Amino acid sequence: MDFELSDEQKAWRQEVKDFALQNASDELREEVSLAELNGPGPLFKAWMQKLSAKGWLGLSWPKEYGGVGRGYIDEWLMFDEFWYYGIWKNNAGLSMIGPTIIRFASEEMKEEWLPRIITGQYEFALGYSEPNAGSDLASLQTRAVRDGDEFVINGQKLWNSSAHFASHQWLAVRTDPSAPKHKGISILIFPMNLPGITIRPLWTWGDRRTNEVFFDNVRVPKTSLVGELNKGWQYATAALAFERIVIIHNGDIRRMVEGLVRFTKETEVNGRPLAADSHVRNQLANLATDIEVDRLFALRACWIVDNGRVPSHEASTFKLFNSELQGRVGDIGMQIMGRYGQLKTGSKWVPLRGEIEWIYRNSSVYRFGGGASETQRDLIARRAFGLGR
Amino acid sequence: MNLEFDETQNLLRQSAKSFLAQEWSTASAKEVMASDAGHSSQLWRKIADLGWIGLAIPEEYGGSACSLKDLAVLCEEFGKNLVPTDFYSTVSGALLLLNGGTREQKERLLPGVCSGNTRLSIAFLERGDSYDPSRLATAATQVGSKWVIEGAKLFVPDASSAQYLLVAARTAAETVDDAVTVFVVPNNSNGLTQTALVTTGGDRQSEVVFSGVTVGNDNVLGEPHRASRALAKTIEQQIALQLADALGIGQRVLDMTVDYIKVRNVFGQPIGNFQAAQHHCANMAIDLDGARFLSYHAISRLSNGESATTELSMAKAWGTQAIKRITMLAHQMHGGIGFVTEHDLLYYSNRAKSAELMLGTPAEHFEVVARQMGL
Repeated sequence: MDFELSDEQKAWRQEVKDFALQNASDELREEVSLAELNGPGPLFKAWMQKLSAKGWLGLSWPKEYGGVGRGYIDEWLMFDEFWYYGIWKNNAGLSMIGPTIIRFASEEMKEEWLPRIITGQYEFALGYSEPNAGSDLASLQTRAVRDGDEFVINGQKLWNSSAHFASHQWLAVRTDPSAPKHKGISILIFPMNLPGITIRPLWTWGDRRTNEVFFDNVRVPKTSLVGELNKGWQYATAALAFERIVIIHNGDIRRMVEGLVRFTKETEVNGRPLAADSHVRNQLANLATDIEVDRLFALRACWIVDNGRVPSHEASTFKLFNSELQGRVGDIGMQIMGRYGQLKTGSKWVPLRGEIEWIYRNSSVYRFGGGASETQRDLIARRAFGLGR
Repeated sequence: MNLEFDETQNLLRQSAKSFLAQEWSTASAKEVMASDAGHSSQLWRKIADLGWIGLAIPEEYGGSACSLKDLAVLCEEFGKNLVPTDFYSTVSGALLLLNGGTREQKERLLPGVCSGNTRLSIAFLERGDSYDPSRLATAATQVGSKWVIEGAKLFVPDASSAQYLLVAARTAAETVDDAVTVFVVPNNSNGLTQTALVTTGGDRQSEVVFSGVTVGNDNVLGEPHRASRALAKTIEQQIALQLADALGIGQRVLDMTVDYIKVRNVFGQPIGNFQAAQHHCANMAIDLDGARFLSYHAISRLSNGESATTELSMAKAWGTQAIKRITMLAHQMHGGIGFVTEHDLLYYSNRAKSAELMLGTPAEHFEVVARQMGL
């Protein structure tokens, strides 16, 4: 066992780091920090184009679908650097939908969708949850009924986070209400600009926007169906598994803890720097160690994928640990900063652009979304030890 | 030992409950938080008419002569209902006037405060972010019969809406070490400028800069140079009220969570049927009881005029973290619905996190406990 990266991987990390540094302007960072509110702006789009031109998008995709075939470890190392510099936002097409299409969709669908998904130009809204289907996703009720060459969609989705700027919708629908709940679900993908789609904003604790989306007799061509009819649960589960591996990152919290270290060196309280306080030192050392554990959990999950297997409880471990760690960075960071800890982005005297205060609030969503911590603990107990059930 | 509230406290709690049920809602709280003023003049007027602003002020100064513990019971209900925190700014100012003012000053200022006409704010913290009065950098110099104040105050609560700021400043005195004087400064004084801050709690805090602000001898609270003790006493009372408010937050959040997990179904049954959720509730209950007992032990001692340094710091350090943990577990069980601004939960969570930091972080208060232990 050796957790050291290979020389090639180290060189790769250095290469992406150098490229990130060249491109990480304050303006791009500012735009990216607001991307979940406004969608990707012109600077981020230009940055995506640069990455696409370098062939760095779809790094883990197989070569026959336009990818590089370099594996998940390399991809994770790249995105982690981008997160560190605050110049990345998740692109569901690249990280989840493309890989799911590659595994399950027809050749026609692959030819139609993959070449554009891999350029990063599509923004997908993920239509899973509903008012009565959250953690229990399989009880979703939004209906799609076949009518000639079309599906007619009726229903309501919740937490449809990118819907207000997305180009496309990835939608889980019920296509066979008489089948057991996991066996009557299908996945449809289609453009957002269709008649019958209504989007209502919801504002979050993290000062971001999510949406409630209503589908009223929305008609989509039958070619919108991903893979086979009524097998959508399998595809949704696969996409969520990709999500767990790819979208979680620790570069951003690494940056925040480095920021806290700077803050404590520069800030004197009661006549001495905070960094001289043994309690503060201990708290920061704890966070740094947690971040290292988190990084190793990430690399293990990627290593499993690169070895041709699907991470199971290992992906849950990473997702669970990371989401709880994000909360601790916010919680402990705010305590260390004292009264400055409660200042929000945009306030006079706010330290570290307010990102510690923000992650305290925003990170709670990662602990109940995408498989709640409680569900992850159940999964770990069952899958790693065969307990329960 | 007696774990029950007395008759006055039960009556007060009952009238607070029915008043707030009729006259106030969390929807109003959100409106006020989103407004520029961060203040509800309607609610303020009614609270003043009920005698609650001056609840713990003696009758001779226009108050209702109740105890600090009685006031705490009221604050618990305020926390439960997200009553705007400018109440605490003025009440704290009134307590400082009472603790440090001359008889003449109390007679002149407190009746207006109790009747709701005069609003106050204590300007203590600075860029150095220390509650230790000997660390103050803002200084006042005596020039003839006048005092000239120079410096900057930070995190001043509701500074924008107060008529008077009670400003703690360093003054030079040969006979007193670390001489600190509190000045009663009209908020419209020349040389005084304010910048609003944006905070987690959604309360109104400001930076207040004093550039050659000149006041007279009349504006010195009590005697010059000797305000440290009155300030320390007032901060202890502020912590007591903050703890009570936080207990209200914890109680309301636990109640709303238990109600929710009884009716919200997942996998064909209520969330509350799952052991993980049950354990969360048990942990919340343990945290709330612990916070409640520590807090009321400290509040009772203070209220009886006994020293409560250790008790208060234990309650502040342990209790406010416990209330914060309650809010975080509540989010875990509410899921997405508790994460949107249309729901109430996140406002309680913000207020709880603010309570953990303001008036001393857990680390600062555990340090007090350590010193009291002889360490």
